[in-house]
Amino acid sequence: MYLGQLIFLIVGCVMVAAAIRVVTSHRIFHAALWLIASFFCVAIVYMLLESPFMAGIQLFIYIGGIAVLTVVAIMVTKDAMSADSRTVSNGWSAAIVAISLFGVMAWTIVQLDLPTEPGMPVSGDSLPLLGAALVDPGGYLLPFEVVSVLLTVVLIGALFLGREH
Amino acid sequence: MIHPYAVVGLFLLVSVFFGIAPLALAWLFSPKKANPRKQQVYESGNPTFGETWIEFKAQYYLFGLAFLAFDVEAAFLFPWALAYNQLTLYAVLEAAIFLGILGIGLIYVWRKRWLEWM
Amino acid sequence: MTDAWRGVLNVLLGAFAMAIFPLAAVIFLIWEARKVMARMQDRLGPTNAGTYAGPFALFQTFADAIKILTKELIIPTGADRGVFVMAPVLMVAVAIAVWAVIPLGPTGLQVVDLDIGAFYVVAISSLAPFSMIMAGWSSRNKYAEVGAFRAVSQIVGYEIPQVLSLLIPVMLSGSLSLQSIIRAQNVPYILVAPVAALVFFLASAAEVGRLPFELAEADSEIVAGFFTEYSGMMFGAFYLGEFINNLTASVIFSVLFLGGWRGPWVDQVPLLGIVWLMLKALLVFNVLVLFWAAMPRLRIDQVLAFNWKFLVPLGLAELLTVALVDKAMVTAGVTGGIERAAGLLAANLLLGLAVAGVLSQTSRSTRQRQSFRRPPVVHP
Repeated sequence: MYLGQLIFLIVGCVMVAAAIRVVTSHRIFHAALWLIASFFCVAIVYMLLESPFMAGIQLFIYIGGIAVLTVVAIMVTKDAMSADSRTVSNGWSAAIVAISLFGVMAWTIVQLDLPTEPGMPVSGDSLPLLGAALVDPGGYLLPFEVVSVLLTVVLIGALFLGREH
Repeated sequence: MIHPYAVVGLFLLVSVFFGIAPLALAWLFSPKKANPRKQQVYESGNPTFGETWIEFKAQYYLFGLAFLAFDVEAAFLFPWALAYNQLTLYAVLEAAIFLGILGIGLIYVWRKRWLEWM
Repeated sequence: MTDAWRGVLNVLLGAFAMAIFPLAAVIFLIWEARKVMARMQDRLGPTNAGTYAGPFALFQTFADAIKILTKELIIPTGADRGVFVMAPVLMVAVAIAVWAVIPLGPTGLQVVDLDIGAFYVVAISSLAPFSMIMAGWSSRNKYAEVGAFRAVSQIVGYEIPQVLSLLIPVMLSGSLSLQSIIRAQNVPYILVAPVAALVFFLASAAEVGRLPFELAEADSEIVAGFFTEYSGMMFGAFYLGEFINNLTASVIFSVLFLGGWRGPWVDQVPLLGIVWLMLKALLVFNVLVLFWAAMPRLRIDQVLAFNWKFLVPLGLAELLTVALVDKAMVTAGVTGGIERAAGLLAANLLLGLAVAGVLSQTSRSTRQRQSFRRPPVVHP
């Protein structure tokens, strides 16, 4: 579909541009805002892939949760909040690490023999199937319960750090 | 017939337009006579004192982290709630355990008095 | 002109109509809220004392809107200009974007009936805190920054009970589409799960940030909170966005728990749906207005405690109760819609009673503990 590809190209360019701005912004708060722009573009890509639930998750968890936390973390940090914080102190070594990581990941993805057919043929709405698979003992029951334990650890750990010293 | 997601995209564009339109109108009609006195930061009539962008209380962040735990949990519960009518009592019990583990965590931090704001 | 472009044009026209709807409704609602609050406080509210502004000063808001357009847009020195200007735009855009999925009537009176409509509402409105953070940070004003922090910790936290109670209509109707949720409500869900409705209402009241949860802009403490530095239409955009959010919260509550557009004669005249929905939303909105007029402001610790120690546990308990009781009833062979609704109502009432009992017990013991601490009376 021609129009879809066009939108994908535009969104992809905006996403990459925003990601570059994340690492080149002088104010770290701006970097966080660019990160959000980049997340939003990922949500649009999920919409293009006809996966509205993943797009919603992208907004709900990545922007509404993680990005909010990132911004708050910046605002409670002393050095990051000073007026013109140089965010990059040793840019070149960071760039080398990032590029090599990207290389490894890209190589792995290219090497992988990804299936071209969907693993589970789905007619109609796939979200209830996901919900049923989450609590199906033959499906993802164990990971589902382990997630809950992990989240509990997060909750207790976060509030433990915040207690009175 | 236009794809529903395309409609959502168009609506998002329209809503951004409605966000910009009033400001653009105001920019057209409003006077533009800036002066340093007018552009001072308003802090109850006192001249601003010291640096504004300083570090803040870290507890805001930690409560945010606690929020994130429940946020992720809620995201998992959406597909489960959607499938609810087709589930067996056993499957509902499993989700109850899922909720219960986090609920016990909440009760634990509550009893430890770590939920207090200081 | 090809068919595709005509389709795009149609969609755009519909989108414009739908986006103007909340704006127009808010113009009226601002007047209505001012009148109701004035009566609560033994005042008259807007009148025609100065110049004529329509019957009962109905067009006062139009006059205010035109006036505010002619006011200077001041950006303070030291502010981060780009972010400063983007914040009010984002506020209004997010407030309007939610209306894409709101069904005003049975057919056609909706931009798009998204199959994840309820989740779309939650996901889009989770962008709202950003306009507040951006406004508070970019102003470079201490009041604004304090307001931004308060706004974030409050709005973000109350999302949890809101989502937990929103899951109950989703569970009962088996759908995330708002249209299907309305169609499934042969009995309005407020009568099936009143506790969920209560939690959702309180959480929404906190999300829209008016009294008693108004501490993000507490005008007697921190001037106007995160939008202290905004003037002219930029201030107006925040004011407008906030009122739209109030209307949206009322409409969503009506859709999820009061049966949305359902009412007598809707099948014959679909346009009546708008009337029923708006009447229900107006009812909810006026409860919010009464809150603003009657409630004192909570402190930050009280706001957080109310969320984490009351709404979140209650939301979890309600979700567990409804899920288990309903499934147990179905497993036991009770499948009639009315019987299930009655059983759930009974379970909800029991839960509500238990919570009320626990609350009165705790408040009594707190009072006793405080009376022990009172210094002894010294007789002269």
